[in-house]
Amino acid sequence: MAKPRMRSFAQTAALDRILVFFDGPQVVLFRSDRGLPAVGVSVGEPDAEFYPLFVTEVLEANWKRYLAEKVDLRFLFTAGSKRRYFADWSSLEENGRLALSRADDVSPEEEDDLIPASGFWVRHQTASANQKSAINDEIASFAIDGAWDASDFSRFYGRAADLYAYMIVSTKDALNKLSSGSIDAVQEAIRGQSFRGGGSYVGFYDKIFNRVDQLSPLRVRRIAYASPGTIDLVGSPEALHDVSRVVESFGGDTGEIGEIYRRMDGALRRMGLKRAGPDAKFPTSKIENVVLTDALRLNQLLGVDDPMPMFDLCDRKVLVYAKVSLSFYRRAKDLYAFHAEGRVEAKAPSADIAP
Amino acid sequence: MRSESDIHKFLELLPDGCPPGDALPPEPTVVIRLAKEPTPSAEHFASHAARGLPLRGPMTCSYASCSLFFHDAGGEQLNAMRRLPRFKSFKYAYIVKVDQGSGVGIAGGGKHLDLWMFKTFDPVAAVQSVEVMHG
Repeated sequence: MAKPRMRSFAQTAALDRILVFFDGPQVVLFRSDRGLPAVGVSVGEPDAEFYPLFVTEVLEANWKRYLAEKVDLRFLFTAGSKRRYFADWSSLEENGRLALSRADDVSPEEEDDLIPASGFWVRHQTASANQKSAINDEIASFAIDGAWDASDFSRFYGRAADLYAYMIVSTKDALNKLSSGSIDAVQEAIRGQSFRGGGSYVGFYDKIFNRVDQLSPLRVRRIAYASPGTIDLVGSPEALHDVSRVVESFGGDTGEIGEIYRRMDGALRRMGLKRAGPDAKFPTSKIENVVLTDALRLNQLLGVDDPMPMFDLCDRKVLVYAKVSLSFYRRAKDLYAFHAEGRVEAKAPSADIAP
Repeated sequence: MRSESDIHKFLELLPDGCPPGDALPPEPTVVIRLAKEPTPSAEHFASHAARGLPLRGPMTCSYASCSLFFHDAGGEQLNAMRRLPRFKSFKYAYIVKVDQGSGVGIAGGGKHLDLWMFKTFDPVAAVQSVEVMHG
């Protein structure tokens, strides 16, 4: 049976939540009957019978970018497909639905009055915390001390972001929330890397982070640079806990983690596999099994409860999985170094109240 | 169910169940009311419900509250509000002093205050100054 085609325009929208309430609803999040987020802003002078809203459908990825403060509210009205509508809040039905009428004839001059000006960000929303929230993030605060320069901040965030992405794609629950297209993209990111040296690993982490960013973005909420100061990262509570566990696993290590790393690294080097492509073969299947056992164990010691999802993402290629695991270790060690040097101390996490 | 004394306590006629049970008298503080007009009047503090505008969806009690911003939220929040289409022409900030005698309120996100004003509170008299917002 042919897949039904999505209509070009929506006809109705269902209320998700009010984002800005000032005397009345000013910014409202809906879900259109085409399944897209739709954002409405109050426009004009309302009266008892008519409370006009100007509504735009938003691509899911752009909505995530808005939540992550990468774009402002205006961007949602100016980017993408420009499916815009008028709606009347006073016609909102008991079931939370309202009718949309297409706004095709809006001139550029009129448009400027109907859409937000630049500079309204998600943090400016007034919705109270007891409303249903589309985000359920947590703040991971790190107390920092000692001397920090710009490259230290960049390295700290970079390592945290790499581990964050790795832990999300290593978790079945999180993977299930990714669209099939995103999982394919993560697999392509792995397949597309040569894993022959530093640059290819950077590319790998960048690509999986970009995909993960659409599901559970990690963002810097605050950097208070002083000595002592604070870095606040906001993201998925589960993934932030996992990153903390990775760091803690180094702190409590009896030496086994480093021992496995050196054994795997040395073995690949001796076999000439460090610079070999992803399809290179191990000399024997027995050696391959030993390396796989070490790689699985290394992941577990670093806090990955179930190493199999990542192994599957690597197409069950032991050499690729081993190299990815070694890179995971190096990043974890680098992040742990900040703690070991006394320059970073994790504080108790707290909820990020949805603005 | 509100008592008879509650009904007479508030400046506006509130829907049943309002204000919410967790609304508390505010500590003495300075808040801001955005306005279009330079001269404050009682109408400028009237709630959405009191102005007879349509009441739909959740937040029933908020419709009957006066929306204010904490002064501490600073100019950034007010400037951001003025980027929304409805508020582009709101150029005035009434600086208002509230305390436990003003009403009961719920603070949202540390920057916004829903205030259900007492009948004994005169918001116009509580205006300390009016600031013109630029930009």
